Amino acid sequence: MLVRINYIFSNSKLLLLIVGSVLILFFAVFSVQGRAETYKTNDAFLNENFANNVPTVKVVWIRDALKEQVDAILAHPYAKLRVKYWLSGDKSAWILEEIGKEQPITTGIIIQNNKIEKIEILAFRESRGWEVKYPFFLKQFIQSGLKADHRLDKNIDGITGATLSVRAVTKLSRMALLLHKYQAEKS
Amino acid sequence: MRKRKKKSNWLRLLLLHRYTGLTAAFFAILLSITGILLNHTQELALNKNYASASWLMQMYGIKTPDISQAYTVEIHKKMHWVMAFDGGAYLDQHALKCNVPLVGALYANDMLLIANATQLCLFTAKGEMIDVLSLGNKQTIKRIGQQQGQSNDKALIIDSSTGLFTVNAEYTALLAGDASLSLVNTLWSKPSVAPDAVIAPLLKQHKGEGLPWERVVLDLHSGRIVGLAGVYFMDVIALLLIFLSLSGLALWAKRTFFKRKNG
Repeated sequence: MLVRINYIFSNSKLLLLIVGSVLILFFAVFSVQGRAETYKTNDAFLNENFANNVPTVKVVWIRDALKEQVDAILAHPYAKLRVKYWLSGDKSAWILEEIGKEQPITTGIIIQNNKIEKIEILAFRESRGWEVKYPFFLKQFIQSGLKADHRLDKNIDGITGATLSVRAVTKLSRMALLLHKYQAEKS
Repeated sequence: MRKRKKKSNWLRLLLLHRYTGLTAAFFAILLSITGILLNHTQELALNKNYASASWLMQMYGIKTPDISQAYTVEIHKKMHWVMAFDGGAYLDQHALKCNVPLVGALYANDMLLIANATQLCLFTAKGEMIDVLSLGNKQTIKRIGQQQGQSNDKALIIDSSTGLFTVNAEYTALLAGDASLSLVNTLWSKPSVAPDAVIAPLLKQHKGEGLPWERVVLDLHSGRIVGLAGVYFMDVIALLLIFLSLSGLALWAKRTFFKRKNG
């Protein structure tokens, strides 16, 4: 045994290979864990999209028929009785959360003329599926609207290994479009 | 010479049989009694009666969590308790979606307001979540209270690590306090000790009915009551009982055969 260890230490290429493998394994394990991070604060998102002139916060109450529709989109009962939003003209901002697998994904959505103008992942806390934050995925939502069956009128391609996160972001975009339409009709 | 050696082997088997019997006797009785009980689970209603002894609960890892914090709130002229229990918040026995530990609870503006270190959670009187208002990063809520005055509209005061906060009229945002807010004349939400009458139903709800006696008897029978080691120990006892049966048969056969041969 001692002879074998001495052989490893005397052979620099073999030693390099072992150390390299251990380091790759270490980074592979830790790159999967601990990806919980906030990319942008809610205030920063709102200031950016309303040119530092954020309108007063409004609320929409999730009750009766609207609750049924929201629950149907999320495929589970929505936890809160009201949702905050910011409205300037026909442009509304929604900061919504939905659990991908275990942790909530905070998503900021800007809607104008019943179409998604911008969508951004503000905080991602899951250990997998963070690819949904990248523009190559999020740009698919731009200018998509809501059909009569409360589905998006554009097809959203998924990401391998991020199915639950993709599903959560898609649900939130549908919910924001529904709530925007609801508040517009109500006002 | 050969005959003497054979004799000593039989003697060894007899001694082994005897000591194995002595070792396994207690467990044979235990297995037999628990076996009979399990055969008559329904008649004895073992599946409907529950054990409640604390040592047995500890053995099964069923812990009784403590009430970490408890606050009284008056809702529609009736006293209720907001408590942090087993990692969650409760309004009496109703679970609430609000992080713990709690720092205060109030009923104001037809809403139940519960504060933890970073959030103010808003609920209806029935415990339905309305919304959650968060304090900014690196700010912590120390306590919440209501400013007392002649006006019916009593301002909510949030005492945080960075100063006083209040809430806007619609309860949609936390606002940094101005000169009108002061710690004087503020009635703070203070923790109290929840009475047993409030805790008991919560504990019962947490533990369920308890541990059915059928499970205890079954685990005694299998040895699982002391964990995996108990299962392996009972396996050894079962092997000893098999050995006892076989050695008993062998000794009986030898004695019978020997008697016939000599007879």
